[in-house]
Order: sequence, then C-alpha cells, then structure tokens
Amino acid sequence: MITERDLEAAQTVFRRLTESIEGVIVGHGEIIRAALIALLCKGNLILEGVPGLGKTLLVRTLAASLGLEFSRIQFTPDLMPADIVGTDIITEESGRRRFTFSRGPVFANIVLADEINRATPKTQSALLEAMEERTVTVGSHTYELEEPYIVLATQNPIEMEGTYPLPEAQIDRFLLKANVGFPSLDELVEITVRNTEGEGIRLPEPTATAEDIHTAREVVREIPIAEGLREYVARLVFATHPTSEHAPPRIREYVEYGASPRAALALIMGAKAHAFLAGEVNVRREDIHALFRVALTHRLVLNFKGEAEGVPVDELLNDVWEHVPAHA
Amino acid sequence: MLFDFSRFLRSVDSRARTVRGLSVGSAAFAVLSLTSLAGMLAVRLLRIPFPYWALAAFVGPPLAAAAFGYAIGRSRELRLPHLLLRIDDALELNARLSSLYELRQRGGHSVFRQRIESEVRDVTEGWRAALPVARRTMIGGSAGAFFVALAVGLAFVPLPSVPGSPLDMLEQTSTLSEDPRVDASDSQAAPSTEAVAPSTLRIGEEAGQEAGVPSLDAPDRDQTLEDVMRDLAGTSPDEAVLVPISPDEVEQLARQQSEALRAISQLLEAIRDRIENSPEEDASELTEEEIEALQRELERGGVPPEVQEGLNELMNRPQSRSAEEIVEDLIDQLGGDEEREGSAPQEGDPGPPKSTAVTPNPQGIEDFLDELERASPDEAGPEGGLPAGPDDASDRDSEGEGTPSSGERSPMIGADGVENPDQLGGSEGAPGLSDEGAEREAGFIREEERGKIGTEGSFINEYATEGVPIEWVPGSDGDEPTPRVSYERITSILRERGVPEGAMEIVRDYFNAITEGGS
Repeated sequence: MITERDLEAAQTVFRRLTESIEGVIVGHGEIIRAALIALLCKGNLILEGVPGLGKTLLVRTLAASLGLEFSRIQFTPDLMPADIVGTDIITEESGRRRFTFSRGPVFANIVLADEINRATPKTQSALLEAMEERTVTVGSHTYELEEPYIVLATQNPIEMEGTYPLPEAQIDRFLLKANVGFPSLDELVEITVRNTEGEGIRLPEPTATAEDIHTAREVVREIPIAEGLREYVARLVFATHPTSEHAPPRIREYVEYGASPRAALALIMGAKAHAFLAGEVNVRREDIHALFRVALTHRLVLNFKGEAEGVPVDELLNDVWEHVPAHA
Repeated sequence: MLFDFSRFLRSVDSRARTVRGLSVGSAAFAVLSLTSLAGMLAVRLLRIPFPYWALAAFVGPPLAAAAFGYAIGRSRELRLPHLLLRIDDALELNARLSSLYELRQRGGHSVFRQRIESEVRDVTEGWRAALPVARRTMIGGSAGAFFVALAVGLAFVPLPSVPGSPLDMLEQTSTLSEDPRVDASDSQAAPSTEAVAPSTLRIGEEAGQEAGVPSLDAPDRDQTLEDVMRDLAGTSPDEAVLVPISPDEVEQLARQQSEALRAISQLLEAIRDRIENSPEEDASELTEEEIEALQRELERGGVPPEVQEGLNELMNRPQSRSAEEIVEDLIDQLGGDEEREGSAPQEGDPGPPKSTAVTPNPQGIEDFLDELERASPDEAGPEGGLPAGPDDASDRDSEGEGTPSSGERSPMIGADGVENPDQLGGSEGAPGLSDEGAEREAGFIREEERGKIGTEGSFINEYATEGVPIEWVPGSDGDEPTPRVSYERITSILRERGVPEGAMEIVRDYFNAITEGGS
C-alpha cells in the first residue's frame, strides 16, 4: 500500500531527476517528460528527428541521472540479431572448452537503439522480446533482463533510402513516440554556450536509484482515474478507427487501421505518469490530452490515399480530439 | 475528519433526478400543451360547442403528462461517475470528485483518497451550478404554459373571421342565437324569409309589402344559409341552433311548410265562403270550431310569423278590423301563391300543382340540370356565366338585357321589365313580379327558358336563378339555342365564396329547394 511518504518521496525523486536532465539538455521538455513517462510505465520510447538534435545525449543523460547501466546500439543494415542479443561463444577454461553466452548490448537498463530503422527487419525484431517481455532467448535458454529496463530508439525521418520502416507489430510496442524538433533560437544559443565553453557537457550525477524507480512505478499504478475519463479514452481510441461511428470524416477517408487496444493502455498509463510528474494525485483530462498525440501518433496506419496525399497524422489526431465529446 | 462523500453523492443524485425529471416533464408538457392548443383551435374553427368545464380536457392532460414525465425522469437510474465528472469539469476540479468516487469504489483509505478529500472539501459548495436546469427545459415548460394559456384563452376569445365567409356567417348566426339580448321581438323584426323561397321573395319584395306578403328587410345575399334553413323550419333566430341539416330534411321542412300553408289557405277560404254566404249579422265572427281548426294548423308548425300574426289577430276577434277583412288579407297573402301552385306550366305539365313561393321542389331544378348535363356533358364553359357578385347591378342588368332573346325564350323579368306577368310560372298573382325596381334590386331574376331535349323532344320551361352560370349553346342543324349549365363554374364560384367542400351539396340543395320545382 502506498503511503503518504512513498508518494512524497517518489514525486521528489522524479522532480530532482527532471531538473537534473534539464540541466544538461536545453529545451525538449516534452521529450524529457516522455522519456520519464516511458520509464515509469515500463514502456519504450521512440524518438524521431533529424541528426544532431541531442537524442543520444538525452538518453545518455537519463541513464547517468538514474545511475543505471546504459548501452548503445548503432543500427546498420549489416547488423545481425546476435550482435544485439549476444551469442554463445566457445571459451576455454582450465583446459576445458565450453559454450559461454556472451551478452549483447540489449542487456542493460537503458538501451539506446540509434537509427533503428536502418537495420533489417530480422535484426529489428530481435528487440521485440526484450521490449515486451523483458527477456532474451538465445538458443534454448531464456535470459531475464534487469529492471528497470527501457529501450529508447531513434530514427531519422529524412534519409529514408536504405532504411527499413519498423513493422506495425514492433512499432506498436513502443509506448510513446516523440518527435524531436529543432530548438528555438534562445535554446540554440544556450546549446552553443554549454558545449563550447568551459568543460563542455558534463553528465549529471545519479539522483535516483532502481529502487526509487520501482517505488515510483507502484505509485503511478495506484493513481486513480475516473470511470468517465477511462471511457473517454476508449472513445478516443475508437474514434481513430475508420469503421467507428464516432470517427471524424478525415479518419474515415485517410486511415486504414486505427489504434490498437495497447494504445488505450498507453494513454491511461501515460496519463497517470503525467499526473504523477505534475504532482497530482489523480488523472485529469489535461493529462490525457498531453499524452494523446505521443501515445497514438505511431499507431495509426494511413491508407494509400492518406500516404499519397501526405496527410499528417497529427492533424488527424487533432480531428479526433475535437470530434469526440468530453461527456458520453 | 473525512469528507462526507456519501452525503454529497446523495445530494448529487437527488439534484440530477430532479433536473432530469423536469426535463422529461417539460418536454411532455410542451408536447401535450401543443396538442391541446391544436385541439382547441380545431374546436373553435369547427365551431364545436363545448361547456366551459370541458376546458379541463385541454388543461388536464398537459399537466398530467408533465407530472408523469417528471416521475419517469426521476425514477430512471443515474450514472454517478459521469455526473461527478460533469461537476468536476464545471467547477474545474480536475476530475477529483470522479476520481474520489473511483477510490471509494475500490474501498480502503488510500493516500490518494485523503489528499483528494482534503482538496475538494471546500470547493464543492457551488456544485449545484454544475447541474442546472437546462435552458431547453425552461423553454419547454414556458412554451407548455403558454400553449395551455393560449388554449384556455381561445375558449373565451372569439376568433377573427373573414367577412362574408361561411365561418363568418356561422359565427354571426351562432352569436345571434347565443345572445340573450336578442329577444323574441327582435327576432320577429330580424330579416326573415319566412316560408317563402328567397329568390321569389326577392322578386316580390316590394309588391309583397303592398300586399302584406312577408318581405325581406335585408338583401338576400346577406342571409346565411342557416337563416334560410331556420326560416324553412319556422324557427326564430333565438331558437336556432347550429345543427347539420341534410338535403332530405330540407325537403321535408319545405314540404311541411307547404302543406301547412295550403291547409290554412283552404281553411280561410272556407271561412270566407261561410261568412259571405251567411245572412246572419254575427256571421263574421269565427266559430269555436274554426278557431280550433286554425289553432291546430298553427300548432303543426311551419307557418311564417307574418301569417301567424294575421291568424292570431283573426282568432282574437279584433275590434279594429272585421274578421272578413282579416280573412281576405290572409287569403290575399296566401292566395296568389296557392293559385300559382295550382296552375300548370305553360306546356301543360300534368304534374302536381306547384307553388313558386311556398312549395319548393328541389327535385325539379335538379332534374332540369341533370337533363342539361346529359344533353351537353362536355360543353360546359364559363362563357355563359353570370356576374360574379350580386352587388354588381350593372352586370346584372346587362345580363338581363343582353341575354339572347328568341321566340322560345322570353325573359319574364329583366331590365326590360315584365312582358307578361301571367307567364311567370303560370302564376297569376305573384305580387310584385312586374315591379321593375324590385327586379333591379333583387339578387335573382327569374327567366323562363325553353329548349328542346334532343332533336324531337318537347319544349321545356325552366326558371333560371341569377348567379347560376348558364350559357346558350347553338343547337345543331340550325335549331334554337339551348341552355347549358357550367358545373365547373358553379364549383368555382362556390369556392370563391368560401363555401366549404362539404357545404356545397347543401348549398346546391338549398337553391334547388328555393327554386320552382324544376321543369
């Protein structure tokens, strides 16, 4: 049972964690929040943006702040699954040869899958089990991944040649998807100052432990959400389906498949974590609103017409948000 | 101390039920009120009589529906989580109340519940504003009340009507018959066409005044059909009631009146003969038997008031005039009609004696019209139509003057005057028929028309009433023109006059009844 002390402690830890990360990363408040929400919800985050926006730095800063093990995988077309999950190698010890499992980079608390869409689908799918079940199976042996575990993937939306877009099954396993935008002018100036003067960027000291994260996750799960809001979330997800009677016209016109039930779970859990990070003790409508786009934007599959016309998914989600009534 | 959330929930539940009850009740009230208003309008427009206590039938159902709707609205189950979320949104409580309800459903006292209760304790004072009585509810209730008030008001306020329309005439008649200020004497002085068909009365109006024939004080066209029907029945306006009357009843009334007048006429002639043939001095006094006989005839009804007055004077043995003089006057009043009734048409029609004035034969003109229709069923046209309005004297005159005149067709009355009064339906003494002034003022003219049925049929005599659109169609093979009635024009005229569809037949029967019994 969550006590007042647990609640206060967890919120204090994450407040410090947020401040620590924001001390390194200039701007990108929503991206930082999305990463923490994914961490609190036992989810994974995919970041999309052009190179040089600080995606990798964000992940490294998060790992440093948490004092957790961090690994980075640079996805390339020739990357093999064994390169990610590890493989059995022959070792010789005391004159005896035997197979020993050599863990891959997926065995860490925080895994950065950089430019994940550059690897082949075969390699990409090697992450599926790790992301969802928190286990890795090599041969006949299954290895548990250590909690807290989170995969933070990045992909470049510009250089699409020679890339392999993530299959729907895999991209659905990412709790949230955040678009990393270009910083503002002031933020850019600040970035140059921090990187070109003095000692440059210094990663922060750990401000939280794995136990703190575990406690915070329990607190988040206990945060109440009203029945009316839960039904509201369901209506929102339903409205993304072109066959739904609540779907706005543009959804019916441009969408092939709507969001999965996993989207509703992501939305509710994400809203809980958002409320937690905001210091609230219950889910509010604005928490749902804050998570609505990042939780659903990668779960809508456009039809041919939508792809051909280049309809932005965010606009479709705006339609859904405005179309669905707040009260049943 | 924990926030008394249970009590708060009960208050919310009660308030929400009340609001929903009012919503359902107001909707039901508005609908039923509108229905009541429509019903009242229908009752008033159709002039359906109803007592004032029947207003309950227009007020009660809306009120009962409102109460029933309120009860139904209150009794239905509510979804408290949604209501609480609505209150949250209205009071900007960030879903705290609905979350608190969620925690309460879970049970236990979590840290979240304590925190939320402490936060909402002071901010729920104005929660009732979040569950207001909807504007639609107020509009529905107001509209319902307005409709009910309007329906009740309509019961007391007379509806405006179009002058000259049947409804207007009905209204006037109803008002007259309901007005207690109209006493018997007023009704006696009121315009009347007692016992005499309006067309003939119109013709003989002035002559009738000279000869004591009941006359009209007002133009005939101002009389309502109800007046005429009432006159035929021998009732006064204050006795009149608005009841539907069928063509058969019209015929029966006319027949009854005719029989009564004929019997009185015969009785008076017998009295006159007795007085003239008696050598005794006091023979001019009526005997008890005669008085009783006259009294019986009067009691049979159907006797015009003017004739009643004369008979009453005769029975009361007046000092001013002798009984013989009164009898003579009465015979003069009735005699011409009786003689006309007894005379045969020019072509020697062997049928029963007819009276233009007092013995309307509705079947006659109908037969004539039917014959015309059969003779030329496809040639009805508006060319032969008469002036649209009876007020148009010049048109009427030109109609009378301009009507084709041939050897077989000699207008009895027209702008040219009467050439031969004896030919007026075979009547010898129809008073006033030769009076030109009377015929100009009359709304109807009487013409004798002659025509053939087929190529070898016998001539027919007909009396056409002004206003009936008749045209003359040249006969085939150089035969003389034959009259033809345009039923389409008749229907058009009736519609222009605002006569309801259902009343057209009555109007037609009415004119048939007042017209000399046809050919």
